[in-house]
Amino acid sequence: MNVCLEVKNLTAGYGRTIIVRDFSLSVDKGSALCLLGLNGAGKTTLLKALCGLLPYTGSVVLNGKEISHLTGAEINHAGLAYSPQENGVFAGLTVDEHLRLARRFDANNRQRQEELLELFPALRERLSQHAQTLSGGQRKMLNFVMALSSGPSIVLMDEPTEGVAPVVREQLVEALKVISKMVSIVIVEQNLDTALALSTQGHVMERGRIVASGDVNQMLSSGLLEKLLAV
Amino acid sequence: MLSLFLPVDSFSVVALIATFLLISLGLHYSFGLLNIVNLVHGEFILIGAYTAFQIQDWFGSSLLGIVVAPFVAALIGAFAEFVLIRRLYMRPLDTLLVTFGLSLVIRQGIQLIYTANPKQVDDPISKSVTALGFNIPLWRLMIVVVALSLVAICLLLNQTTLGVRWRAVVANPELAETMGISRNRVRTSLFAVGCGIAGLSGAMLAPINTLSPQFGLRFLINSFLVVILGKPGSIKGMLIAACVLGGSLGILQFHVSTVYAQMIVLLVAIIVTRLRPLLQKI
Repeated sequence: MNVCLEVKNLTAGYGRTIIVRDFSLSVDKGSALCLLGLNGAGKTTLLKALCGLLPYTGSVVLNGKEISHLTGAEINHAGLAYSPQENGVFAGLTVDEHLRLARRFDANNRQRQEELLELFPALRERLSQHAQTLSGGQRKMLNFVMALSSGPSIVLMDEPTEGVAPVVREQLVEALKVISKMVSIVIVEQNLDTALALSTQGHVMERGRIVASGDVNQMLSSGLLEKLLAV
Repeated sequence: MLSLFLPVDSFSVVALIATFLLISLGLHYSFGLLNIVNLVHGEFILIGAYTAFQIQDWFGSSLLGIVVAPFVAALIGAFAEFVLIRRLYMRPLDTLLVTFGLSLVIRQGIQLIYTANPKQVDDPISKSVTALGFNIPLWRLMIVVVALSLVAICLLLNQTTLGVRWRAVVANPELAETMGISRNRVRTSLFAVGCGIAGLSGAMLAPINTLSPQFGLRFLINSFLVVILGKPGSIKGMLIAACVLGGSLGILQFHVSTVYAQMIVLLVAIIVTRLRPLLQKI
């Protein structure tokens, strides 16, 4: 069995407002998949539902195990990690305390975290700094390390390069290329260049549903993305 | 003139500061960290005091009761959090209503079981020493030692695995959840610890007070004052606030009546709260 994450007929939203409707998706082990879509398409809602932060109906199977009934913490322990679009640090905690939390105070995860920190030397220099005082790019770096430290089998990344300077974006994309060789990744991205640098396979979402799927380059050359995303 | 400002019995002032610390430390967890407007805090102090009384009644040892009290209060607190408060973290005003209702139920329940007649818990040490010309009752000294020890433990706990998890959930519960930390478990444990400390403070204060179902109420306002004045969530701030409020109340009580002293202390609290934004800028 080569499927890492299988989502079937997922419907989620906020209260009575349904944002994601009857959504299905399959992610193979070791693959990178991008979810494209305009603002309000339901991408973040989908990720939040998958990691247990929003209630939903439907089936989600992770590594052959149904996880739709689990809490967010249990889903993370089952192997699904999440890197949020914003608000991704704990106010009042230092970078070092974030890293301790991320490796779950487990010595076995320390080695993995050390390797990840090689990708982001800026974090090493700021271990005693409060995380909320980091720059936007450094916070994203910290998010990546936090998401990957416990050795998940899949990481959901919400706009991993949003709001950072172009030079930092390049650095993050290079790091994400390395990370994508370590685990399966689902990336929500509005920046097409970033998405293409990380994955050629993608889905386009509109109003909570997938409206196009396949090779992103082909969708781009056929004019489909221009039509759907106004790029 | 100088005698107007110096307390007659300095140790009483220290003991009052320790009492303020002890009654506020539990509220630091439930209100300061969890943002629950915890009007049932006084009743957990009451539960601790009556547990000490009940154990003394059964086994003849008030000390055993004082040891057991925090665990009883913590268990009841964990149950209350699980059943009533868990769904209300996004609705602080509703927590006010629920905890107020729960406080009535607990107080009336205790009155039904133990009647409104005053009860007494024996002083486990009932001895005093004389130092620097002051007569120091040993149990009051014990209250000071326990209060300071608890503050030290809570400060140290912040740096431990458990403390970092607690602070993470308080700062960003959703992010903590996605990192594998169960926010429900952490919140229950935080509330239970707060109730346990409240129970301990009630049991510690019971031997130097007369017990009645209204016992917890008299500590509620001062504990909120200390936590709010010290900035909710800050143990160091709470320590300073307890010194300011407890110290000024202790000193004033020697010179004016308790009612006036409490009024002046409230006035001090209002002025400090009003000026705090300005003080932070300096």
